Amino acid sequence: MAKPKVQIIQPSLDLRKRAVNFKTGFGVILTPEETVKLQAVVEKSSDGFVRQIAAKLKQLREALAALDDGQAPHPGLIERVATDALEIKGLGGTFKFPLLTQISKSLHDYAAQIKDANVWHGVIFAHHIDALYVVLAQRITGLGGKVEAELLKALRQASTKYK
Amino acid sequence: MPEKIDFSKIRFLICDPNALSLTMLGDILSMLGANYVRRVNDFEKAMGVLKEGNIDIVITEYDLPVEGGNKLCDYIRNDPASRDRLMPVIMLTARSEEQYVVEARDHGVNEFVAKPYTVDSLYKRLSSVIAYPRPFISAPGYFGPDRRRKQMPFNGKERRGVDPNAKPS
Repeated sequence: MAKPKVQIIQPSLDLRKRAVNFKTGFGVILTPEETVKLQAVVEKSSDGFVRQIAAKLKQLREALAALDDGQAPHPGLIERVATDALEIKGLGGTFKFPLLTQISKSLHDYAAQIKDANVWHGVIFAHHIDALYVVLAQRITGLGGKVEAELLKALRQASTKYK
Repeated sequence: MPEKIDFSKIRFLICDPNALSLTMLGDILSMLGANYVRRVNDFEKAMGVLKEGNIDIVITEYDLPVEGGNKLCDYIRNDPASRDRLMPVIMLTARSEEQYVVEARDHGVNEFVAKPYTVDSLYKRLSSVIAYPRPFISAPGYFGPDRRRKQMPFNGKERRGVDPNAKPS
């Protein structure tokens, strides 16, 4: 009989045997009290998050401002914008700033698709960064209201128009 | 009586180039009771820790400097020097689009958590790999956790070999 090409291997139960019990630790399914305890760890990092993102945005603003009039962003700057935007996207929602996540997703997607940079790319970057700054400075948690929704829509439209 | 997980019995390797993400994840694991958490910010350091052994679960970003989290998973699953080919790998990343999820799954990642994440979503994945591990599949071109999440009725011929005692080669 031919050897089967696909094998199913039973899962290793080593971790289960070692760690799962009825006495100590956190529930296999978290209780509301346990969730609150873990959420407190995230909240403790919240100030650090605001400081880190503010510093990143400041540096990006300075790098954009350093471009000469009519100069397109260089590849290194585009890559930095994309990387920083991805980081902000990944952190915003965890710290109750989902609007930061949405704006930075728009910025990351925009920066990631650029092939031949032109001056408009820098302008669109700057608008996104300004919007991120405002959300952070005003501590706009949640998705904001009508104005914020309009802002996001406008950024996406501009990103589509000036690809 | 509900089951609990004693995280002090589990050794973690966490890999993330973002210092804040790394600190926060380490702090969450500490709050859970884990007291062995190795924190690294790039691929090379992660490989160094894996080669030392003494790791039970890896939590990694997709984007790691030099090589990515998928490459780390490749080493764990397929390298002859890997200490534990069945080691759970959780990918925690801001690259949440479907293509990255599929890519990570095909490299043998057990669980994928999109950033921004909630502590609840992270915990569910941790709990799942510890308390309810999935079987592994060894097939030409793939070694990793069973990628099927649902049990669907199948009326065709069973063509896979099922060996309850099979070990990874």
